[in-house]
Amino acid sequence: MRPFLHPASTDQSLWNPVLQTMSRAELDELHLMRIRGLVSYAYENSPLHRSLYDAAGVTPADIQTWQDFHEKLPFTDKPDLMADQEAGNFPGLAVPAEYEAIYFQTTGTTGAFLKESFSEWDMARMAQHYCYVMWDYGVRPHDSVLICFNFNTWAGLWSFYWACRLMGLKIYTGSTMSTQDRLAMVDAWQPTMIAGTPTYLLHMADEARKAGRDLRDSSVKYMLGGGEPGFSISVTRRAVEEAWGAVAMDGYGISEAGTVFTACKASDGQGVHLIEDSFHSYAVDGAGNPVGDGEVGENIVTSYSHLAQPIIKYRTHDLVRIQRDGVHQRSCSWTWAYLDGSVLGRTDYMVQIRGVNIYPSAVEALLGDVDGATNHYEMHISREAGFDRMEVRVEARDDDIDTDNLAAKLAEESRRRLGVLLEFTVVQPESLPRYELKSRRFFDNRPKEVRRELDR
Amino acid sequence: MSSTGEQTMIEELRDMASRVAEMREACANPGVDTALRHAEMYLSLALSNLGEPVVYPFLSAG
Repeated sequence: MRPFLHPASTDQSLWNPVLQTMSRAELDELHLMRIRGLVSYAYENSPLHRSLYDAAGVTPADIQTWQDFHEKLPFTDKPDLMADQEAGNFPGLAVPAEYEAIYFQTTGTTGAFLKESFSEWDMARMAQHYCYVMWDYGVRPHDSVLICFNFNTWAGLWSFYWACRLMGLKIYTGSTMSTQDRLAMVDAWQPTMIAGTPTYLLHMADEARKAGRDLRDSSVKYMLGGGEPGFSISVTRRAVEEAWGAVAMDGYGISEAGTVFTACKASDGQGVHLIEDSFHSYAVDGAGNPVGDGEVGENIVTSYSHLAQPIIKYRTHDLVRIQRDGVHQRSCSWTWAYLDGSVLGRTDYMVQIRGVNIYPSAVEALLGDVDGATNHYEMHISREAGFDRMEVRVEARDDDIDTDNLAAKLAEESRRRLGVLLEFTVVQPESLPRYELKSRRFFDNRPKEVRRELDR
Repeated sequence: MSSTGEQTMIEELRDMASRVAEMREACANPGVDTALRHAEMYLSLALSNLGEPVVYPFLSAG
């Protein structure tokens, strides 16, 4: 029988050495070619994009250079898609019905669901997004994966499933199973990889520990997280890796476009690469102008992998620091742009507490550095006497921890690191809800007129 | 952009994609047509992975 892959392919350290090591000039040339084609395609096939471009007075022929792309082409945003949906259309659709392969919905924790449609071609390309990280960490077709997500309307799960098929992994589905059943599957089938939300994987480890089972002895060597940013936050990443004795593979995506950025093994949880085969991304300042290389700005994404519903110059509202220059000097061989620190925060989740900008990710990061606290937490925002107030509820690690003392320590740490004294309420272990998908941690109770857009 | 070996592979893949498309035009067997449709799609994926334009065979883009 022929080998599953050519031995020379199996020995490659990169999933696609041609594209992952392209020079910056070649990549930029490829991007501009793909963007121009995509804009023409969207103008011809998506009534929404045609109307947006007509309203901006721009045609595909006007987009010839990077300056044209930055200055002439309008941004798109989720409200554009929502408005199209509310008008009775399938938002932004650009393919005939027979080419629609699968439907999803956004998994936002607030606001209405956005309908999503992907073609078969979109899914084939989306599948590759996970292959880059899996291959880099050493996953090969002889590996096997236990998927601990329910097969619902979340695009990330399905594209991961297609990725496993594309790479040739053996798939075990834990869909709809209880945690106990999934733990039993780990022992029975010996998967080398497990996929779930980081908080759920921690929950599995907690449950196993209660039953006297140490998952560090299990067959699992790799973990793929999704649905929440946990693996990009060092405290969560460390906790899950220690609980399982396995490496965590990180990625960052948006529901409308899939996994846009992916870790490499050398990034060690400190950042992620832009998947330049499928996406263009750049950061802008508050006025919409591109920021310099390595400067913080809002991430603007264009996807070449979602032709059913084009995503072009799309506002993510995520704050990022994109490095294009000097990426080749990192310890990996990828030339693809790098997000130092992954997602730094949200333009719309930022809260000003007594004049200081606070992002949830910064609060989560400090929780891990205070002994006795866990990363099971909720943030509750309210408005009192014209000022925003944030209360952080966090679970104690053990029942016998002095909660008042721990709350005081956390408050002091927030003053020291963030420059503002936050309010912490320490609650008993396992008293906050657990979520299998996308933990709900941010509760904005401010009046609607002062609340920022929070529909993601 | 591509090495000589990659350029040769690109040309052969393009030729194969054209031949598959031609075969589909003359195909009246849904089982065969569907298999060829997949072949066409994955040939396009191979071309895209070599830095060629992102072209879904039936919905040209880029």
